[in-house]
Amino acid sequence: MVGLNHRTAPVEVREALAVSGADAPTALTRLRGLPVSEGVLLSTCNRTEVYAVGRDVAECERALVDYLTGLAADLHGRALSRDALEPFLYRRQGLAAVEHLFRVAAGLDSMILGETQILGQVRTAHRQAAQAQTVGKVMHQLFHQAIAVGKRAQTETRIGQSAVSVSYAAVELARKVFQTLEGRRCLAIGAGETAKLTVRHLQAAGVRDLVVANRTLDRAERLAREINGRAITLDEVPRVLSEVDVVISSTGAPGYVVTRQQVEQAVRARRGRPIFLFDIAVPRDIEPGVAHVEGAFLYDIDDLEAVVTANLAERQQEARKVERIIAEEVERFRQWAASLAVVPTIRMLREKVDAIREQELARAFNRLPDLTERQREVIAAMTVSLVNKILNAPTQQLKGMAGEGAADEAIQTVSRLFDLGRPAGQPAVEGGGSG
Amino acid sequence: MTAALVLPMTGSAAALYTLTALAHATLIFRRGFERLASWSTRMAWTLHTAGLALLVTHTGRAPVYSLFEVSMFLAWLLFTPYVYLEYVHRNQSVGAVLAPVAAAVLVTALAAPRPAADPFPGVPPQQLLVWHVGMTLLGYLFFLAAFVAGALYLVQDRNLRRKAFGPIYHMLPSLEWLDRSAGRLVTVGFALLTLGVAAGISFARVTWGTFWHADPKVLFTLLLWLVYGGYLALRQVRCWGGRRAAWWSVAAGAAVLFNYVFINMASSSHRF
Repeated sequence: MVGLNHRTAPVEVREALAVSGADAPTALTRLRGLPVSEGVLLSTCNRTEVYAVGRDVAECERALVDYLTGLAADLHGRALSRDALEPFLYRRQGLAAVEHLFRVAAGLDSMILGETQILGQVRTAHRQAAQAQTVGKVMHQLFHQAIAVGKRAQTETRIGQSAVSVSYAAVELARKVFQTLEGRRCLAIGAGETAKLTVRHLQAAGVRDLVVANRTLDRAERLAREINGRAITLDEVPRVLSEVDVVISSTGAPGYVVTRQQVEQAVRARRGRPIFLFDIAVPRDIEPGVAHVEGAFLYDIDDLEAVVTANLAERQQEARKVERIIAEEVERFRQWAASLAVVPTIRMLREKVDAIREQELARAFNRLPDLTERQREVIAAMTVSLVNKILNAPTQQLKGMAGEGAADEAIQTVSRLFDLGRPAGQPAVEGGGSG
Repeated sequence: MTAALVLPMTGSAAALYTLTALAHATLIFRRGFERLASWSTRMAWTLHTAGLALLVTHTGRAPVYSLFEVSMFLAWLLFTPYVYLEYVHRNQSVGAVLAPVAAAVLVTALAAPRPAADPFPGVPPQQLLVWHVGMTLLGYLFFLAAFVAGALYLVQDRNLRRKAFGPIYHMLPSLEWLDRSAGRLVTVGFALLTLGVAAGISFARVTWGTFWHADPKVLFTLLLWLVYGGYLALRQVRCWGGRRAAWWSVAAGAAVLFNYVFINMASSSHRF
């Protein structure tokens, strides 16, 4: 595997190697010209990585680097020399490459720890490569397992669950007060960028009725059109306060726009239904005393930042569990890859025993010419099942020994016992497969 | 032989429930004891279930004939749904409040007299009595569940107000859900208690010719009935809810436990 990501390469380099969905088939077709037997290209806005299987690691890596410079030249018209690209690249071989892909799929290698988008991108990369017919059994196994790792990380840990942006943290907090945001009403006082983003998140979560308040009705109306709401002036805020469930305030006003007294009145009018207020303005718009009003929950920008920090810490904690899952899956892949080494031996063993079976069966039928068709069928079926049952244990044991790292010994023993001779052409895969 | 195991098993279960409660309580504030909490939950429940099963096979009857049996059963009914929640959804939020309740009920079981040969001295078991006991106990079950919902509301409210986001914060549902659930649980519990009390009154009328004794348990239960009735009335009429309602259901739930654990001792006609 050769690649670069947001940590190793600046955006100028990353963009030169970005492969869009439309370019993917062309890019993958070029992979087939390389001295590799299988390959997958994973390209997102934060990373471009090529995974490949080949016989010689050094040769393989050289070819992949050339391939990347070729991509930059052909897709983006950027002349990147090998030497210019070299400092931004990282390489992984064997199981380290496997582990790397698993970490990527689980979101551990992402800019935002534990994000879930990457899993879909890994899935797409695999699908595109499968369509371009550049994947064989190693890459199939590798990517199937990588996708499984991503899913396990999502279902077995909480790594992707808590919000890590201020705007989303606000939505998450509101969800801990209201059972559902479906059909709730929201009031945006002023509309900074964060406020607008938060409103979009709230709308995605089902908030329906949106009111925008501003100093001048004119500006409010413009904003209301932008985020699809109803416009009012600041004077009307106290009246509207009793009708809305979530308030987001982000004006540039020097004093308090919403006072404790107003919120107290609103809560009384709401007959105890809670009201949620986010004050993301500096200086603050909402009187801090509102936090003590029964039925009102007030969060300022520092509180939201603290939530994000806490959630990031939570994700770090969960990342340890994900590491355990990855270690498990890497071990599974190692066993699978090791068992590949004994596949030719197993095949030879089967062929040999099958040949004996057919020979002996033919001889038996010759000596018993009076058998009916039905009797012949039964005897033939019996020999097949005899062979299968006898070979079952050695096959399993061979795979098992290979998984324990004793593949060579197992192959030698079985070859000797059954007089198989040396299996021709050991597979290129060694200790994990991807170079 | 096997019957002798019931007591030690119940005892260890009660001890483990206490451990469970402590481990869960730490989760309100910080991480670190998740494994202990989940391990002790499963161990406690397994011992408890085994003890209950042994008891039932030994006596050969439903475990509703003495305070000991009823407590074992009540605690089991209360805790089993949580074991499911913990095991399947890995949600450890409820244990902090539920485990102490289960421990308290089990300790009551241990302190109570062992099953007597004759469950109802001087009174033949009757249909009405079965209804009285069954309905009242089911009512208790719902009140205790409402106690748990109320306490969790207060925990979550504290989390949200102090901006303290421990592991439990992430696992708990919304305040609104907890509030509504407490309301629904009390509604069901209140209906069951009403039926139970009605059955008790009719039973007293049939058996002793009076509607009621001036028995501490009867008086206290009537008080509970009024408390929960008041809770429901306030909710209905004034759209009451939130923190005050949560405190109310916690206090009332504690009173139910008090009634169950202590008032029994002072009562002549009620052994549970």
